[in-house]
Amino acid sequence: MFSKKTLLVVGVILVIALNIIGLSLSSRKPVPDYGLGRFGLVIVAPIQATVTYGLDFIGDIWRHYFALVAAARENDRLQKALEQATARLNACSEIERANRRLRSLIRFQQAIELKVLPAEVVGKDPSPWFKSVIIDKGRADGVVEGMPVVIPEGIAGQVVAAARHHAKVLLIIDANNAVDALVQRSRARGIVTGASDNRCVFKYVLRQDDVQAGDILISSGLDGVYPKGLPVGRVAAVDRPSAAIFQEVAVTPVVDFQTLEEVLVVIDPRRPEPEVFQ
Amino acid sequence: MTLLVFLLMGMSLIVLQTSVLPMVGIWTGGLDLLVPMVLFFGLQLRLRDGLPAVLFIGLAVDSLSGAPPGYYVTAYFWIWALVYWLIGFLQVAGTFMLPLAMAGAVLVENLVLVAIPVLLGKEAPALRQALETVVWQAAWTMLIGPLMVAGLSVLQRRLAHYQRQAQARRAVRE
Repeated sequence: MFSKKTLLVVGVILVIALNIIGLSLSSRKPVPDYGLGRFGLVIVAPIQATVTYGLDFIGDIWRHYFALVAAARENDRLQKALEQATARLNACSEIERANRRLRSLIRFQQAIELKVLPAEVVGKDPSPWFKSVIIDKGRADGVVEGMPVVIPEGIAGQVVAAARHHAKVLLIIDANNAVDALVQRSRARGIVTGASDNRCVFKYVLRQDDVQAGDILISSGLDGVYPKGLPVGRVAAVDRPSAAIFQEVAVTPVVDFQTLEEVLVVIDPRRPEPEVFQ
Repeated sequence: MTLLVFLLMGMSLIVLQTSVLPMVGIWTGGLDLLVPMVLFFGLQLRLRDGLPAVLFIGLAVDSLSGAPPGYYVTAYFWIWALVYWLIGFLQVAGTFMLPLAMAGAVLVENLVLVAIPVLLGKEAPALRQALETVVWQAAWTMLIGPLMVAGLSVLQRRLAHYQRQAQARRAVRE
């Protein structure tokens, strides 16, 4: 009855019409309330999720594992750099401290009118009962026995033995050392000698002499060893026993002997000048 | 050869004690590392090696210390002599006796370094501080000393072994 061509045209028109009607209906209600509409959600979404999670997992592995290898290498490199920087910082702060000490020594060297020779402490006394240090200057540098050794804070000690390139300095905290000293404020005179526990005592100070805790003791210059006016220590305590001629005066040295690293040897101007200074 | 090696060891210990440890800020509290070595000389070395070694080390320490000359030579000599005499009839090197010998050696050293100046008219150190120092020294020497003696004994055995080998080689060549 109808040719095939006519049927095809009618069919196409029908499909287009149904399609338009369907789209028109679906446009009015965008969220489908039938099972087929959730097909994608039920079947595809889990696959999507699995694939996504899988990719995320691989991504995570990449980022947190393989990337960690690079991070570990980077960490090692940074660790080394940090160690080097820390070592450099330590060296710098050590140089800074040494610089400060040396500047102070130079200022002191310029301030006092005596001829002095800087020296470094290279060794300490092997015994807890005696207090001495070894310095890196000796006879070849003009250092001889009896020369006083000072630092900007005050008197450190006296050279008691000198070899060609090294010398032994007996510190004022040693019981065998003695400094003729004055109380700066009252000019009371006595002898400062070493006592135990890195301290000194101010001996032979008459009972009536005015000495008080906190007073500064300076060298009198009368012992013929130490130049006059250099600080020796600070009076820590004064005891006046009722039946004694002398006071008992404890003294804290102005020099911190635990941290003594550089010193100045005073080249005695009364001695003939050694060759090195001529 | 043995004497030379032990003298070098002694010098190294002196440098360690007077320069390295104080400079790196390790407080030793007056611990004398040479005391175990002197004790070892008395225990293990022959008279002709031990006595010169003790005198040499004593002189070296004396020259570096603020102590009046001869104090360390005296102290080390008497430690060595006492040990040398004791081993004639006592097993000084035993596990129990060695730490006691160490403590005894520390006492002898301190008697010489402190008691003699006091007897000669110097002011005595504060008793409490002196006791603390001696007890500290003795305790550490009792702990470290036997280990040092053990180490030095091993060194001595090695040296003796090498010397025997060298002698044997020389004999074969001749």
